[in-house]
Amino acid sequence: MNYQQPGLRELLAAEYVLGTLHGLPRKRFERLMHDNPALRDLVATWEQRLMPLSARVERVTPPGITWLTIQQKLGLKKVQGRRWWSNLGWWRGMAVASSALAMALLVYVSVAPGPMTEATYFAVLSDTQARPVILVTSTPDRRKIRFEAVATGLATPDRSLELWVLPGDGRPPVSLGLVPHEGARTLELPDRLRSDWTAGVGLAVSQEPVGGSPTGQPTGPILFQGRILARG
Amino acid sequence: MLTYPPFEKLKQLLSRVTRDDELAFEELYRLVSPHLFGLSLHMLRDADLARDVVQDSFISIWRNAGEYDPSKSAPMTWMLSIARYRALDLLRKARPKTSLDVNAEMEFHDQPEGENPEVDPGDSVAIHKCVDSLDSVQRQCIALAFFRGLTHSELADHLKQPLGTVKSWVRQGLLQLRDCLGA
Repeated sequence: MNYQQPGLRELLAAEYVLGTLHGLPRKRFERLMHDNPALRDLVATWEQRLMPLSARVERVTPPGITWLTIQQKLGLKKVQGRRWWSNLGWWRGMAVASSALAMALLVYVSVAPGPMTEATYFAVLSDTQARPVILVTSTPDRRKIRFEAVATGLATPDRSLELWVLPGDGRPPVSLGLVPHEGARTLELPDRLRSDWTAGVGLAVSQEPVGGSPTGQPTGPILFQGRILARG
Repeated sequence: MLTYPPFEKLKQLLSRVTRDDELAFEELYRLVSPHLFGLSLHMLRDADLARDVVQDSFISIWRNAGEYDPSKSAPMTWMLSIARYRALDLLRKARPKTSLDVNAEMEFHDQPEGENPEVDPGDSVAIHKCVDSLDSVQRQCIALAFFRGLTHSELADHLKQPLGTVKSWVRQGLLQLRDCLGA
């Protein structure tokens, strides 16, 4: 077969996609495709032409075991629906150190005049070296929360830092907005989050593109994390 | 339902998968797996085999997302092709025991006009119109090959025609589709 003839190549590519090219000729063609980008492009063109035929085939949701098997075979972390946010393990060792630090910071904050002096719930988000970076406080009725950076040098022009609360029991993170470069930010906690705002609940800050996550879920690495503590 | 998930959304998810983003991969699975499973089930008529196809396809998608080139094909095209080739492989290995007396014409379902714009714009409507414009024998061959994975000799048996005749029907049909689609 003369594979150089354009007409023949076109037909082979078309029948490859359709599936009528099979057995040894199909394997031969696949080997040719390996080193021949023009041939691969021709195949892609035929795929683009024919694949929309499948648009009218009924969608059917596969059984749940399918996804579990995929995760298992790829060694992904989220077997049985657990998510990365339930694996804050490597920070756990810092819990004691950072809560002592958090208490000290809170005393400092409560002594300073300002709007949040009756804060009952608070959190200190720290980095991997247990250095406090973000301070979050809330009013006892959990209507308002306030957060600010207590470390310097966080602001860079190419990224935003987004604060998330991790409500627990498998639910995905909920965004609380961007951490301001300077000063503090106060916001009303939506009703649905108020009951989630209790001691032990995790908070995390992720690195996002400027303006925050485009998807509504964290897209970048977790930089700082901590847990809500209750004072009193 | 005729709709594919939106183009841009799938492109974004695939590019995140390239960076090993497991959340994106899960969302991609949620959006796309019913299309792959539906097609595989249609071709293989066997839920266990169809499940194998979906698993193998997503493993391939995870590993090869970096090779997907948005300038060459639509995201759904890329992913459906992965699944369809895998289904064809399985069909070759173990032709299902169900007999092949399916009506080829029924492979092309009638759908009302004016469909959801989220489908890769125009592509599905265009190919179905072009298939409608084929001669009946060409249409049957294309349908049985695409949806049921029949080989030339299986087509010849099914349609009770010589092998050479069936081969030329397939080829003429494909070339006519190309000309009709105009690309």
